[in-house]
Amino acid sequence: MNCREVRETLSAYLEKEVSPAMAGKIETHLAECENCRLITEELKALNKSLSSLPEVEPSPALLTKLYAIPGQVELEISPAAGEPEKVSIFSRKFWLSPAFQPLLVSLTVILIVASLVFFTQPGRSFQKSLSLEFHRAYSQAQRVLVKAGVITDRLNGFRESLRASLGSDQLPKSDQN
Amino acid sequence: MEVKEIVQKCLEGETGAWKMLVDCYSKRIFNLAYQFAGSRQEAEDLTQDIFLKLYSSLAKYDFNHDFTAWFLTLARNYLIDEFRRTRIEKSQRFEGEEPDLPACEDDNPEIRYLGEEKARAVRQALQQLPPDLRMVLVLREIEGFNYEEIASRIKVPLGTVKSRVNRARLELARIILAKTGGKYELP
Repeated sequence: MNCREVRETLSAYLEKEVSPAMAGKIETHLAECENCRLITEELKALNKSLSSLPEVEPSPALLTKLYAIPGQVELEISPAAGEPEKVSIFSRKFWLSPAFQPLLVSLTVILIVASLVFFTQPGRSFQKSLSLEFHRAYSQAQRVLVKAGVITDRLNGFRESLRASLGSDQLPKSDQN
Repeated sequence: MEVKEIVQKCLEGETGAWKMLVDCYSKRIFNLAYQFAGSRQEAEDLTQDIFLKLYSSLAKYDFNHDFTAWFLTLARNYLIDEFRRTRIEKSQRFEGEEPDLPACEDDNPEIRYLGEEKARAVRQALQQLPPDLRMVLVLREIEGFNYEEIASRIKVPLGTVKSRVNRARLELARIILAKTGGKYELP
């Protein structure tokens, strides 16, 4: 194992979360590498230091602010206390309320797309190509319908000539109807 | 007076009860915030925010549960959310300020001095860690959470938490060794 590999697994090694084989490889490396050994020792010492860091005293000024919280909060909430806040339909707060946000987002997207389509050069050419495509598809559908009519007429003609050549009495009854 | 009684009196609007609650928990919450924030000023602001949140959420407290555990969870969640939301902390936060370290229990002045020096070095090194690394290290080493709990609290994959904790420890060791004159070269 090289130094990088050892350091990537040092935490797991110190927490005994590596396999015995892996632990053996790490220990072999540590026996040979002074730098990694030094770090490992520091990490062991750090674990103890971190969990026993001395506590810091809050300042008297902070305590004064904390003691004063009930007064501040009462002052802030007292106008609305006891009754639900009424929000006018014309107020900004009403339209920016969370319930309207999906609607506002959708409207914004629609406006952006519409302005891109109607007021920009690429939008106009897109519009033009879309209408061309539509007309092309329409005329193609018409051509298909005409072709279908021609085929039907031919089939009918073929049926008539067949009937004439064979004689109407030889045809099945269903066809006579 | 039991803490639940104090809470009840707070809900009834007794100012004295609120003062008692602040006296009971301010030190613990301030230290928690200090470990997360890395600077005394920010820790004071966070402590104030947490107590404001406590005051506004006090009515939601369920008296069947342990108040200390409930409050600490509220504080930790607030700190984690704040940490994830802002992420504006500079990587080099340490500005040379020295924490007010309390007197050590040890009678031997030399040992006491060495203990204080070590604690100061560790705290300063902790303040120099990038926020993401410091947060996982605080949760793991100081708050004592396991990796799975940290992953679920800060909403990152388990593997990322493990690798961040490892990187945080290595970085902390590097900073401390550099200060004490030890050799440490990252590969």
